[in-house]
Amino acid sequence: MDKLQQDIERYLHGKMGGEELLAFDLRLQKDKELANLLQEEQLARKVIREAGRLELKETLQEFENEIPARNLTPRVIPLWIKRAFPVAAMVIIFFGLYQVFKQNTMTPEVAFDTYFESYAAPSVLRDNEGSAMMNWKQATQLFSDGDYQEAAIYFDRSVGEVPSYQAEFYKGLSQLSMEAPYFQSAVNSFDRVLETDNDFVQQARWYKALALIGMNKQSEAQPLLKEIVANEAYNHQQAAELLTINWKR
Amino acid sequence: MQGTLAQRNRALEHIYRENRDKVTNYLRANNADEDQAKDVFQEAVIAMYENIKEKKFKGESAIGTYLYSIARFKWLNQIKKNSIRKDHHDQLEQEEDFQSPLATIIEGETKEGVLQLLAELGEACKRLLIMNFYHEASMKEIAKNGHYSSEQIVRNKKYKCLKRLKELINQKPALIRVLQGNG
Repeated sequence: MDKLQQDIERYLHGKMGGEELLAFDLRLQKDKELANLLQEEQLARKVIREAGRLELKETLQEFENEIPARNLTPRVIPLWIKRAFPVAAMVIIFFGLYQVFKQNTMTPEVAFDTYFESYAAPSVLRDNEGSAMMNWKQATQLFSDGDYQEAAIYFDRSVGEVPSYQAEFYKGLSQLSMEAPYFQSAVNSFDRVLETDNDFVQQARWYKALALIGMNKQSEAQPLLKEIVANEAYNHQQAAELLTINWKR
Repeated sequence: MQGTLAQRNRALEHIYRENRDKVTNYLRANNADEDQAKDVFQEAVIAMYENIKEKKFKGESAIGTYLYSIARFKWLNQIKKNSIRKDHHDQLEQEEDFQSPLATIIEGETKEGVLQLLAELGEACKRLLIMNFYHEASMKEIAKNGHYSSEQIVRNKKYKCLKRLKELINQKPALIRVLQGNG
């Protein structure tokens, strides 16, 4: 970086003082080229500031999208509901499929509720890791208990105890299993799973597609669903069904 | 708002969740619809973030109170701008004034122009310049996040990116006029 550029930066940061500042101001009045360089620098910084604001607003919108419908309390499922859940789930799935075959029209919310089935809880690992696996064990217990909000926190902490793709997959799954799912966070987690080749890639692709549908982003879900169908991957039949839906607003 | 970008995002998310309902409820009670309330609240959070960085907010009041004041001031300005519900505006105007400069998100053609410029600049340069100038991230943090091998490489890259941005701006006189007009 040349001396002039350094001076301009110091001037804009208010790091000039006394005689140096007076001299620079005087030079600006006389030296048109310097004035132009200063103006260029100010415009560039203005563009960067606007770009930063736009990017920050997108980040805030992600927070907004994750605020559930005024209900942030974690769900702890009573035992009788857990026992009745498989039967209820089957009824809901049959009803959902009936609706699909009947008219093939659904809202994204109904589609998500119809097609989302949580993945099996992670198996308990052998206890030869001592306290090093504490977060993972706590996370799997919370997941099994249906306390998905807390489970997501512990899965996040368990990165390092288990492969990160495994922790991210179950974290995303926990976020989708909540009563008011955190769709964007789940998508972010599944994206991290999809960054590498691992045992959870197929499942992550399916759940990411569902999360996108939950966010009403069917056009982004479509290529994933097509990929699942083309590869006859995890839940490819359900993916094929989702591709035939006429989305109701 | 100190720390890494990830830490700052977590802090912002906490502030967002803690204050959203209180502020948007106030705005909706003052005739903002759901989208307007959300937009004003988000711009208030951005203004708060910038004022903290620029040390204009030094923690004299609680964050929630500060956000509420900014949002109220912004909404007042918007009402004034739209010249609607004058009586209500007069009532609000009697309340505490808020003098700090406030972030306003660009829209329409200006936004399109800036986005096009950034697209031409490229993702790596855009990221680096935003991190350094807007978030005031250190060269060390940028080097770590951007997978640059040293801080000196980041400095060189920043200089080149800034130069390239200036060249691109100079090719867009219409955008220059708009940006100069925005103050």
